[in-house]
Amino acid sequence: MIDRLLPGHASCPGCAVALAVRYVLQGLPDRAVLVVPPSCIAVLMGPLPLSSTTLPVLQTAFETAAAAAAGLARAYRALGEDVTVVCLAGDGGTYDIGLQALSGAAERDEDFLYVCFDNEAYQNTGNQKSSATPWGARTTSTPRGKTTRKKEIVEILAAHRIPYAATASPAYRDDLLAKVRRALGLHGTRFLNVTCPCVPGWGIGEDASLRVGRLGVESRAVPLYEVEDGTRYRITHRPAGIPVGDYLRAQSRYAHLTADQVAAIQAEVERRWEDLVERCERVNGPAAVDRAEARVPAS
Amino acid sequence: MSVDLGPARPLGWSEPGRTTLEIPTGGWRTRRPVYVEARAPCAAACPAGEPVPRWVERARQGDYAGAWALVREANPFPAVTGRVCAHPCEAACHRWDHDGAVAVHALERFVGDWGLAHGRPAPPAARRPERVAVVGGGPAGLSCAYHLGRLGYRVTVYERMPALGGLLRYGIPAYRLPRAVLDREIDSILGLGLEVRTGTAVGRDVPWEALDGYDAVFLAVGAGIPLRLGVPGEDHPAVGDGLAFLRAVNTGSRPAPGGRVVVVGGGSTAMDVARTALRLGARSVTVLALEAREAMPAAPDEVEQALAEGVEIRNGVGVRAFVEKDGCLCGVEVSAATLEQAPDGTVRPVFLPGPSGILETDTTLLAIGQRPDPASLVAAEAGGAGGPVRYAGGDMASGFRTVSHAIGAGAGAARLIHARLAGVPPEAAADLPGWVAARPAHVVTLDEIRLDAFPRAPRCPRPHRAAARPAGFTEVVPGLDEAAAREEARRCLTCGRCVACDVCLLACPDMAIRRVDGGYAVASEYCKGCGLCARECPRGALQMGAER
Ligand SMILES: Cc1cc2nc3c(=O)[nH]c(=O)nc-3n(C[C@H](O)[C@H](O)[C@H](O)COP(=O)(O)OP(=O)(O)OC[C@H]3O[C@@H](n4cnc5c(N)ncnc54)[C@H](O)[C@@H]3O)c2cc1C
Ligand code: SF4
Repeated sequence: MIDRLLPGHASCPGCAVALAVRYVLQGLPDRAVLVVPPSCIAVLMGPLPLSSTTLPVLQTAFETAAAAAAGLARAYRALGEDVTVVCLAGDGGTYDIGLQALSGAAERDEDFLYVCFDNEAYQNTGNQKSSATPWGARTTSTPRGKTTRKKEIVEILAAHRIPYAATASPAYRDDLLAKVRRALGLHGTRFLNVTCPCVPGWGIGEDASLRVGRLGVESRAVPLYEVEDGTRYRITHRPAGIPVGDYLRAQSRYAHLTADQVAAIQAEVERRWEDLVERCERVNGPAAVDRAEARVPAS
Repeated sequence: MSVDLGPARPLGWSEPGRTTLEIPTGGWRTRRPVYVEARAPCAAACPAGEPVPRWVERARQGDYAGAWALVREANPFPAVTGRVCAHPCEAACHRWDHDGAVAVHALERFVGDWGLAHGRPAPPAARRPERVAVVGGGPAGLSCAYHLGRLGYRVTVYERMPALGGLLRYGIPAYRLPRAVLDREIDSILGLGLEVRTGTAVGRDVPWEALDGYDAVFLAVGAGIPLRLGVPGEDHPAVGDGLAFLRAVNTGSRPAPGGRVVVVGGGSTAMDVARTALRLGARSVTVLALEAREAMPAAPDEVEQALAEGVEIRNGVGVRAFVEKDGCLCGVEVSAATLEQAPDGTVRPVFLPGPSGILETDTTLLAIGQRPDPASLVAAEAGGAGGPVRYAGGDMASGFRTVSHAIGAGAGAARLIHARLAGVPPEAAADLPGWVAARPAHVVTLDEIRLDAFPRAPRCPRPHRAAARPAGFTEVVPGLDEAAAREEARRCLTCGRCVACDVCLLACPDMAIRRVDGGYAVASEYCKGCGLCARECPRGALQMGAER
């Protein structure tokens, strides 16, 4: 195991983005270049003139990470150099501001791995909502809770029919690293959405980000799955199916929710999970998923 | 901390070669992670004071010699307690509600048996001049003698009976504790070079004053006087003492309790008397217990095995009188009763209104408990004045009448005697590497354990061979084989002790944890004190403490 992220960086104590970046970098080859738009990752990468990583970093404008990565990848190919290009972006730079560049690159199947560290709001500018913020979550710009649902970014990328799109969580490091390895074995645009619980933004303890990450996955609010070629779905971790209320109650951004609202979120989580299971079955046949087990238990 | 940046160098706006290693983010910290060795709940519950997770860890690694040596730091009788201890450790196990307690009891027996077959006891420390007398060769006395012998003291054990072992030999039957096991464990204690005077009762064969020549005395003469019910007809010769019956069987005589046997009592002794009577040919055996079935003091598996062998147990009944006809005992008058605890701790029946019945019997054996001989208590009190200080322990000095409590009491007395004679404080610090802080007073709580880090794995099955109407005294419960023992040892969470699993190392967002000689160190210049490492530690071996 080689750590390519260095101590002394400026992330908050207990930051799950720092941890997820640490893991992703552990999975990269020595010859890799990072492309980073404004985001918590840009903060993490070090204040001028210092760097917190042993890899080269190209910092871009907010909306241009995917475009810059596409250019870099093509430039290295023109030079005949085997260099892996990896974008490390936040959800603001991916779901909102960088989506057009990412969609264009994905359609052209540009050759890079794009990792979105999704902490479900613009967290380093003070917790404003993004299109990754889930329904009901309080942010400084949705003080009574967000009224629209979270964008299904993996579905959007999968709809571009790119070779690989997947979700991941720093609380499941083996699963995350397996997906990085899988993606690096392919060519073209590869996409990973890593859900990262945020200490100040989600209102959790400094020591709680991995625990909350596990609650998210085990409650099926954050399913871990991958999609190859935009069609072949596979669930990579079978969750325990705990009530989503356990996940929500662990975060103060949901503290205002009524019991009815929690029930509505539970229903939405179940609907999305059923949908995912059906997608898996559609391509792999029912044998691929044990339906009885995959269903949410009536609780 | 220095890092080799390798061929790649930071590009773009950072200055080549300059990294955040220049920024000591440790200054943000208000709390710091500390590697600790805290007390596991099983170890805290073990009356013999065994460092349970430590020896289980050795067994998990296949280092049975190490496991055996560690058990015997506390308990010289693992093959015995691995068979007869009521194992309160398992009731305390944090795995209990997850997928069942670790089968510590079965593991202890495996390690103890391994030691009997292959173990090499550590030689004692250099001889010391002080002499210590131990009166009573039961588990309490032998445990004390063992610990003092290891420290180099000259120990003499006085034992009234012809052989050592106390109730292990003259009480507990061989189908639960084979004598070869007991003999070999005692032999290994005697290998330390103890002087043994069997067949010598202090106060009868040797005067109490003879002890005054020693530097210290430990009294562990047990509780040998049987309790009586105090009901009419009890003095009839056919109303026998269950313990005397067991003693007779265990010294080789074969009393034949023909016909219908009634045993009074609900504890371990009652079960042993009943099952022994069955083995010696009784036509039927009925146990009368005041307690409800699940409240009986006998261990649940003993009750289960007794029932499987054909013992009948009647719960919630008390004896009102023994009925005699033409000089023969012909029945026991019983009626429904509950029990009441007297202020002195003894139990007595409270009869419920309703008719009483006569239970026909040919032999009745009482197994309702023992009390210490008052002469021994007087002797214990008499210590000090002019002579050596006398310590007492085991059944004679405690209401916790179990083998492991007796062993723990013997070890505790040995520590006190050593502290007094050698001036060494009783609790020596455990030998821990420098990066681990000892927290012996802290018992790891369930919420310090991260159970989701441990996939569920079923506890090993413990079948027994109890079959209807057993004829002989062969052991009823078989031991684990090596594969099963290794598998079971793997289930141990190792509460409160670092096993170098790397979870903390990987959980730190600040790369502040490094490996050092078999363990870890926290880089104080970079640790921000978030506490993730401690929260993620699956076993409570890393805890947050105040920043100094
Ligand atoms: C039938 C039976 C079954 C039991 N089963 C279990 C069980 O399954 N599990 C469990 O944990 N506990 C069990 N117990 C209890 C356990 O055996 C005792 O708690 C334990 O043996 C007490 O140890 P001890 O050393 O204090 O006393 P003892 O074992 O009674 O030893 C005292 C020794 O002192 C000797 N002695 C007495 N007076 C003198 C004297 N004046 N001079 C020299 N020597 C003297 C005695 O001969 C005896 O050898 C059982 C008890 C009985 C009776
Ligand atoms: S996880 Fe790292 S930064 Fe946080 S308390 Fe532990 S060592 Fe310090």
